[in-house]
Amino acid sequence: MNCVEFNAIIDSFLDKEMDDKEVAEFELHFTSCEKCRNELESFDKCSRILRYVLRDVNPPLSIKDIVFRKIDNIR
Amino acid sequence: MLICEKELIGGDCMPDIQFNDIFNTYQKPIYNYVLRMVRNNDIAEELSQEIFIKTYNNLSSFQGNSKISTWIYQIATNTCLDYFRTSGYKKSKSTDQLDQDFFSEETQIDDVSKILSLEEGLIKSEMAECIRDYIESLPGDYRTVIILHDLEGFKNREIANILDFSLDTVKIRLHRARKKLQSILASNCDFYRDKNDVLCCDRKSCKDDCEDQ
Repeated sequence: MNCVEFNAIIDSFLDKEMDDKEVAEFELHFTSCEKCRNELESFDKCSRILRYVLRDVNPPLSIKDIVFRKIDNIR
Repeated sequence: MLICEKELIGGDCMPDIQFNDIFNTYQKPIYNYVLRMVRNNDIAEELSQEIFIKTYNNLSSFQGNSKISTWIYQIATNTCLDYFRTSGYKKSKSTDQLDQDFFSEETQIDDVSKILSLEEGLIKSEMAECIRDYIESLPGDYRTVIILHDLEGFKNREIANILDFSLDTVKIRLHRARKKLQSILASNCDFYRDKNDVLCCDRKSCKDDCEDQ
Protein backbone atom coordinates (compact mmCIF):
# COMPACT_ATOMS: atom_id res chain seq x y z
CA MET A 1 0.00 0.00 0.00
CA ASN A 2 1.32 3.43 -0.88
CA CYS A 3 0.43 6.84 0.62
CA VAL A 4 -2.19 7.67 -2.03
CA GLU A 5 -4.00 4.37 -1.45
CA PHE A 6 -3.74 4.90 2.28
CA ASN A 7 -5.30 8.34 2.05
CA ALA A 8 -8.16 7.02 -0.06
CA ILE A 9 -9.30 4.57 2.61
CA ILE A 10 -8.47 6.47 5.79
CA ASP A 11 -12.19 7.13 6.40
CA SER A 12 -13.05 3.46 6.04
CA PHE A 13 -10.52 2.69 8.75
CA LEU A 14 -11.82 5.35 11.10
CA ASP A 15 -15.39 4.25 10.42
CA LYS A 16 -14.49 0.61 11.08
CA GLU A 17 -15.68 -0.47 7.66
CA MET A 18 -12.68 -2.63 6.79
CA ASP A 19 -12.26 -6.37 6.98
CA ASP A 20 -9.35 -7.88 8.91
CA LYS A 21 -7.12 -8.23 5.84
CA GLU A 22 -7.61 -4.57 4.87
CA VAL A 23 -6.95 -3.45 8.43
CA ALA A 24 -3.71 -5.45 8.50
CA GLU A 25 -2.51 -3.82 5.25
CA PHE A 26 -3.55 -0.40 6.49
CA GLU A 27 -1.76 -0.83 9.81
CA LEU A 28 1.33 -2.17 8.11
CA HIS A 29 1.56 1.04 6.11
CA PHE A 30 0.97 3.53 8.87
CA THR A 31 3.40 1.87 11.24
CA SER A 32 6.13 2.34 8.66
CA CYS A 33 5.12 5.76 7.29
CA GLU A 34 5.33 8.69 9.66
CA LYS A 35 3.54 11.07 7.28
CA CYS A 36 0.50 8.81 7.01
CA ARG A 37 0.55 8.06 10.73
CA ASN A 38 0.40 11.78 11.42
CA GLU A 39 -2.41 12.14 8.89
CA LEU A 40 -4.41 9.37 10.56
CA GLU A 41 -3.86 10.82 14.03
CA SER A 42 -4.88 14.24 12.81
CA PHE A 43 -8.12 12.91 11.25
CA ASP A 44 -8.92 10.94 14.37
CA LYS A 45 -8.16 13.89 16.63
CA CYS A 46 -10.42 16.11 14.58
CA SER A 47 -13.40 13.76 15.09
CA ARG A 48 -12.67 13.35 18.79
CA ILE A 49 -12.44 17.09 19.30
CA LEU A 50 -15.81 17.54 17.61
CA ARG A 51 -17.44 15.01 19.91
CA TYR A 52 -15.68 16.43 22.95
CA VAL A 53 -16.66 20.05 22.54
CA LEU A 54 -20.05 19.72 20.87
CA ARG A 55 -21.79 17.64 23.47
CA ASP A 56 -25.54 17.30 23.57
CA VAL A 57 -27.61 19.80 25.50
CA ASN A 58 -31.09 19.23 26.85
CA PRO A 59 -33.85 20.63 24.68
CA PRO A 60 -36.11 23.27 26.24
CA LEU A 61 -39.18 21.83 27.92
CA SER A 62 -41.38 24.15 25.90
CA ILE A 63 -40.86 22.04 22.76
CA LYS A 64 -42.91 19.22 24.21
CA ASP A 65 -45.67 21.51 25.47
CA ILE A 66 -46.04 23.29 22.15
CA VAL A 67 -45.82 20.17 19.98
CA PHE A 68 -48.47 18.31 21.94
CA ARG A 69 -50.71 21.38 22.15
CA LYS A 70 -50.55 21.74 18.38
CA ILE A 71 -51.25 18.05 17.93
CA ASP A 72 -54.29 18.34 20.17
CA ASN A 73 -55.55 21.08 17.87
CA ILE A 74 -54.98 18.87 14.83
CA ARG A 75 -56.91 15.93 16.28
CA MET B 1 -27.75 6.41 20.76
CA LEU B 2 -31.30 5.86 19.68
CA ILE B 3 -33.93 3.42 20.80
CA CYS B 4 -34.06 -0.02 19.30
CA GLU B 5 -35.76 0.40 15.94
CA LYS B 6 -37.58 -2.88 16.42
CA GLU B 7 -39.34 -1.46 19.40
CA LEU B 8 -40.88 1.14 17.20
CA ILE B 9 -41.29 -0.46 13.83
CA GLY B 10 -40.95 -4.15 14.53
CA GLY B 11 -42.72 -5.99 11.73
CA ASP B 12 -46.45 -6.22 12.32
CA CYS B 13 -46.27 -3.60 15.04
CA MET B 14 -46.16 -0.83 12.44
CA PRO B 15 -49.70 0.41 13.09
CA ASP B 16 -48.94 0.58 16.77
CA ILE B 17 -46.31 3.22 16.42
CA GLN B 18 -46.88 5.68 19.18
CA PHE B 19 -45.99 9.25 18.50
CA ASN B 20 -45.23 9.77 22.18
CA ASP B 21 -42.52 7.11 22.05
CA ILE B 22 -41.03 8.62 18.93
CA PHE B 23 -41.08 12.08 20.43
CA ASN B 24 -39.48 10.98 23.69
CA THR B 25 -36.78 9.06 21.86
CA TYR B 26 -35.86 11.65 19.27
CA GLN B 27 -36.57 14.95 20.99
CA LYS B 28 -33.04 15.40 22.30
CA PRO B 29 -31.08 14.11 19.28
CA ILE B 30 -33.20 16.05 16.81
CA TYR B 31 -33.00 19.27 18.81
CA ASN B 32 -29.22 18.94 19.06
CA TYR B 33 -28.90 18.10 15.37
CA VAL B 34 -30.92 21.18 14.41
CA LEU B 35 -29.00 23.33 16.88
CA ARG B 36 -25.72 22.21 15.32
CA MET B 37 -27.08 23.09 11.92
CA VAL B 38 -28.60 26.50 12.65
CA ARG B 39 -26.65 27.60 15.76
CA ASN B 40 -29.50 29.52 17.27
CA ASN B 41 -31.51 28.26 20.23
CA ASP B 42 -34.78 29.95 19.36
CA ILE B 43 -34.68 28.80 15.76
CA ALA B 44 -33.63 25.29 16.78
CA GLU B 45 -36.63 25.14 19.10
CA GLU B 46 -38.98 26.44 16.45
CA LEU B 47 -37.69 24.05 13.77
CA SER B 48 -37.76 21.11 16.18
CA GLN B 49 -41.43 21.78 16.83
CA GLU B 50 -42.05 21.93 13.10
CA ILE B 51 -40.18 18.67 12.55
CA PHE B 52 -42.25 16.79 15.12
CA ILE B 53 -45.51 18.20 13.82
CA LYS B 54 -44.51 17.01 10.33
CA THR B 55 -43.57 13.64 11.81
CA TYR B 56 -46.97 13.36 13.45
CA ASN B 57 -48.84 14.42 10.33
CA ASN B 58 -46.96 11.94 8.13
CA LEU B 59 -46.76 9.05 10.53
CA SER B 60 -49.65 7.21 8.88
CA SER B 61 -47.83 7.31 5.54
CA PHE B 62 -44.55 5.99 6.91
CA GLN B 63 -44.15 2.62 5.24
CA GLY B 64 -41.22 1.30 7.22
CA ASN B 65 -39.05 1.13 4.10
CA SER B 66 -36.27 2.80 6.03
CA LYS B 67 -35.33 2.99 9.67
CA ILE B 68 -37.50 5.41 11.55
CA SER B 69 -34.36 7.34 12.56
CA THR B 70 -33.48 7.78 8.88
CA TRP B 71 -36.98 9.00 8.14
CA ILE B 72 -37.03 11.53 10.98
CA TYR B 73 -33.56 12.84 10.14
CA GLN B 74 -34.72 13.24 6.52
CA ILE B 75 -37.56 15.42 7.76
CA ALA B 76 -35.17 17.32 10.02
CA THR B 77 -32.57 17.85 7.28
CA ASN B 78 -35.17 19.03 4.77
CA THR B 79 -36.69 21.36 7.35
CA CYS B 80 -33.26 22.88 8.03
CA LEU B 81 -32.54 23.22 4.32
CA ASP B 82 -35.90 24.91 3.79
CA TYR B 83 -35.00 27.28 6.58
CA PHE B 84 -31.62 28.05 5.00
CA ARG B 85 -33.38 28.79 1.71
CA THR B 86 -35.69 31.35 3.28
CA SER B 87 -34.77 34.93 2.51
CA GLY B 88 -34.74 35.87 6.16
CA TYR B 89 -31.92 33.48 7.00
CA LYS B 90 -28.77 35.14 8.13
CA LYS B 91 -25.95 33.40 9.85
CA SER B 92 -26.20 34.45 13.43
CA LYS B 93 -24.34 33.65 16.57
CA SER B 94 -25.94 33.26 19.93
CA THR B 95 -22.92 32.66 22.05
CA ASP B 96 -24.60 33.77 25.22
CA GLN B 97 -27.53 31.42 24.74
CA LEU B 98 -25.31 28.50 23.86
CA ASP B 99 -23.11 29.12 26.84
CA GLN B 100 -26.14 29.33 29.09
CA ASP B 101 -27.36 26.01 27.77
CA PHE B 102 -23.99 24.47 28.30
CA PHE B 103 -23.96 25.39 31.94
CA SER B 104 -27.63 24.75 32.57
CA GLU B 105 -27.14 21.19 31.42
CA GLU B 106 -24.17 20.76 33.67
CA THR B 107 -26.34 21.64 36.62
CA GLN B 108 -28.78 18.90 35.69
CA ILE B 109 -26.22 16.14 36.03
CA ASP B 110 -27.10 14.18 39.13
CA ASP B 111 -23.71 12.76 39.90
CA VAL B 112 -21.86 15.62 41.55
CA SER B 113 -18.53 13.94 40.90
CA LYS B 114 -19.15 14.31 37.19
CA ILE B 115 -19.74 18.02 37.29
CA LEU B 116 -16.99 19.78 35.42
CA SER B 117 -15.00 22.43 37.16
CA LEU B 118 -15.94 25.96 36.26
CA GLU B 119 -12.58 26.40 34.61
CA GLU B 120 -12.97 23.31 32.47
CA GLY B 121 -16.49 24.38 31.59
CA LEU B 122 -15.31 27.77 30.45
CA ILE B 123 -12.48 26.32 28.39
CA LYS B 124 -14.81 23.83 26.78
CA SER B 125 -17.41 26.44 26.10
CA GLU B 126 -14.90 28.71 24.39
CA MET B 127 -13.60 25.79 22.36
CA ALA B 128 -17.11 24.81 21.34
CA GLU B 129 -17.86 28.30 20.11
CA CYS B 130 -14.63 28.34 18.13
CA ILE B 131 -15.25 24.91 16.59
CA ARG B 132 -18.83 25.88 15.72
CA ASP B 133 -17.45 28.82 13.75
CA TYR B 134 -15.20 26.49 11.81
CA ILE B 135 -17.99 23.98 11.13
CA GLU B 136 -20.23 26.79 9.98
CA SER B 137 -17.55 27.90 7.55
CA LEU B 138 -17.72 24.52 5.77
CA PRO B 139 -19.79 24.29 2.58
CA GLY B 140 -23.39 23.24 3.38
CA ASP B 141 -23.20 19.62 2.22
CA TYR B 142 -19.89 19.06 3.98
CA ARG B 143 -21.30 20.48 7.18
CA THR B 144 -24.40 18.30 7.06
CA VAL B 145 -22.43 15.13 6.32
CA ILE B 146 -19.83 15.64 9.04
CA ILE B 147 -22.50 16.49 11.64
CA LEU B 148 -24.58 13.43 10.72
CA HIS B 149 -21.55 11.16 10.76
CA ASP B 150 -19.23 12.35 13.50
CA LEU B 151 -21.78 13.84 15.89
CA GLU B 152 -25.06 12.04 15.23
CA GLY B 153 -23.36 8.67 14.70
CA PHE B 154 -24.94 7.64 11.41
CA LYS B 155 -23.24 5.23 9.03
CA ASN B 156 -22.41 6.36 5.50
CA ARG B 157 -25.22 4.30 3.98
CA GLU B 158 -27.75 5.82 6.37
CA ILE B 159 -26.52 9.31 5.51
CA ALA B 160 -26.91 8.47 1.83
CA ASN B 161 -30.55 7.59 2.51
CA ILE B 162 -31.18 10.70 4.61
CA LEU B 163 -29.67 13.08 2.05
CA ASP B 164 -30.64 11.08 -1.03
CA PHE B 165 -27.01 10.93 -2.14
CA SER B 166 -25.10 7.98 -3.51
CA LEU B 167 -22.88 6.15 -1.04
CA ASP B 168 -19.79 7.28 -2.95
CA THR B 169 -20.91 10.90 -2.77
CA VAL B 170 -21.28 10.66 1.00
CA LYS B 171 -17.83 9.09 1.34
CA ILE B 172 -16.22 11.76 -0.82
CA ARG B 173 -17.94 14.63 0.98
CA LEU B 174 -17.15 13.22 4.39
CA HIS B 175 -13.50 12.83 3.46
CA ARG B 176 -13.33 16.35 2.06
CA ALA B 177 -15.16 17.77 5.06
CA ARG B 178 -12.74 16.08 7.46
CA LYS B 179 -9.80 17.18 5.39
CA LYS B 180 -11.05 20.75 5.31
CA LEU B 181 -11.81 20.84 9.04
CA GLN B 182 -8.49 19.21 9.84
CA SER B 183 -6.74 21.85 7.79
CA ILE B 184 -8.68 24.67 9.47
CA LEU B 185 -7.92 23.32 12.95
CA ALA B 186 -4.25 22.82 12.09
CA SER B 187 -4.01 26.38 10.81
CA ASN B 188 -5.90 28.06 13.62
CA CYS B 189 -5.64 26.01 16.79
CA ASP B 190 -3.01 24.67 19.14
CA PHE B 191 -4.45 21.78 21.13
CA TYR B 192 -2.81 20.63 24.34
CA ARG B 193 -3.62 19.21 27.75
CA ASP B 194 -3.16 21.43 30.78
CA LYS B 195 -1.75 20.37 34.15
CA ASN B 196 -5.17 18.97 35.11
CA ASP B 197 -5.30 16.90 31.92
CA VAL B 198 -8.06 19.07 30.50
CA LEU B 199 -8.02 19.38 26.71
CA CYS B 200 -7.45 23.04 25.82
CA CYS B 201 -6.71 25.03 22.73
CA ASP B 202 -5.26 28.39 21.87
CA ARG B 203 -6.04 30.27 18.70
CA LYS B 204 -2.76 30.42 16.86
CA SER B 205 -3.24 33.97 15.68
CA CYS B 206 -4.12 35.15 19.19
CA LYS B 207 -1.22 33.27 20.69
CA ASP B 208 1.17 34.67 18.11
CA ASP B 209 -0.22 38.16 18.60
CA CYS B 210 0.13 37.85 22.35
CA GLU B 211 3.68 36.60 22.06
CA ASP B 212 4.54 39.44 19.73
CA GLN B 213 3.46 41.98 22.29
